[in-house]
Amino acid sequence: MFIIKCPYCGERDHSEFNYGGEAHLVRPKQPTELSDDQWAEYLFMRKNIKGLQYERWNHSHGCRRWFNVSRDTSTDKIHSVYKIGEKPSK
Amino acid sequence: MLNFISPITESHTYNNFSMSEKTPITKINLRGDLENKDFASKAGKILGMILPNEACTTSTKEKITCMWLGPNEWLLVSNDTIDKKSNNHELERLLFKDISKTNLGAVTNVSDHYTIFNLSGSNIFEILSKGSPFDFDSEYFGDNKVVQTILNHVDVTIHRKTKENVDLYVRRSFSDYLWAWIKDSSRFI
Ligand SMILES: [Zn+2]
Repeated sequence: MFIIKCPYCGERDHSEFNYGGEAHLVRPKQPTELSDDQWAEYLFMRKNIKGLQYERWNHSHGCRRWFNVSRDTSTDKIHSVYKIGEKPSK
Repeated sequence: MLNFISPITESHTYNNFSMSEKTPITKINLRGDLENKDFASKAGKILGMILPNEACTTSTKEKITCMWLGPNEWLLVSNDTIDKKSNNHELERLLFKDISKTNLGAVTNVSDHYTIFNLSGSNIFEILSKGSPFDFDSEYFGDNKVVQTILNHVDVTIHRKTKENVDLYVRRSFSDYLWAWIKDSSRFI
């Protein structure tokens, strides 16, 4: 059990949220010019680190908005929460 | 109102807790960007009030209550029950003409999408707490607040009018299940 602070609704239990994978992935501008390996790299390969990770979350049972979270995967401590389109504060 | 048979056919009372279905009520989902002045002023003019901009707040006039559902989403609800046989919602028509047609936002009639349970009694939040992760004792959840959360695995919208009078919105297809759960839970408080 941990608490996530939705940037719109405030602090809520994590069971109201859904995880949406790694944040800040940029779709290649010209997918047709990529090799299969490069495309697969973009499409499938994700970081899976022990430590601070940037993730997308959705407040699916609340306001239904997407936002970003920086979370320590080893302790579940959330370092910051910020809106989609914003850069993480380092 | 469409010609459907509500799964709720009774009222329920146990000690000082009671619950009944509130129907039929006009419910309209409104989406739009409050920072767009055109949208804000058109919606404000039709509703006769400013749309609430702060999380989980509501604003009320004689006929309508506006509830905040998200930063660009509201639920508009008629305070009084409407004519059962009519499927004609004046508010929807006005909003559709000035907001949908002009591409300022989206207007969706969800009158038959949600069922409203009106709960009253002194122990409503004790019952709801049994199946919800939301902190109903939070200082942010006072009277006239609205919250979307989970109740026994079902998505609900809870409108606290007072501590002892709450409207609970649930999708119609889940209403039978949730009714049975609340009815059962109320016995153990
Ligand atoms: Zn939220």
